[in-house]
Amino acid sequence: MRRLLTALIGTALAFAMAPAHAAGNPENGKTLAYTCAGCHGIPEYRNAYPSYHVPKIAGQNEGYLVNALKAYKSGDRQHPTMTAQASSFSDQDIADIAAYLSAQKAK
Amino acid sequence: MRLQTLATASLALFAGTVLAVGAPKGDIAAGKQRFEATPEGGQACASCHLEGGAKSIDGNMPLLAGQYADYLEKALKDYRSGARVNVLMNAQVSATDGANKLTDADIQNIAAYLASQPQAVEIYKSR
Repeated sequence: MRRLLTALIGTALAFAMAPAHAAGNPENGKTLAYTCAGCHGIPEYRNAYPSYHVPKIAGQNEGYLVNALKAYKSGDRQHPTMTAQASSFSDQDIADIAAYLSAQKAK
Repeated sequence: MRLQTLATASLALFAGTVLAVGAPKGDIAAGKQRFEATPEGGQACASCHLEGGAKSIDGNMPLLAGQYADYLEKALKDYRSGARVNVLMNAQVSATDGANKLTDADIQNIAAYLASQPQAVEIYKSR
């Protein structure tokens, strides 16, 4: 019984940890990510107001990038430019962008 | 002449503002301590964001090492206020019992600590 419970918990955990998104195509992601560089590609680039740096995103975790873009799309995260960008992307586009950007690893 | 003085003064003020915004305000050592400490009834930041934010226990969480301090501050404050929604982080940053609640100083220190780490994330250059 105990072993069964352990196995069940293990399975549940595996599901919980599994990325809940389709596999991304980094080639298409590269094309889509062209626009990102306009802000995320400029060293020290800041938002106008409130003033803080646009985050570094190259080499970021793939699952997190998917979550971030989906959160902008759903309104769980608010930023005028990012909401507009994310709203124009399908879930597959988001997966592709995340696959590409996450592979741009820090050297 | 007065106009010139005024122009110089505003330029100086502007430069001062830019410098002030750019300078890291937090205490790195205090930030490291807060990041690694396990608060009563809570989880340490470091239990999910491993190795000073260079790794994470799950790819759904962000890498934080070398991220801009002011961006990290904004993220933490938004989690605290609820402006940014993530069940786990909202709870972590502003536990309802108040035990874990990060103060502004905690946030500044943690952000300074993470920003001081070797970069796990970089500026995106399209190639």
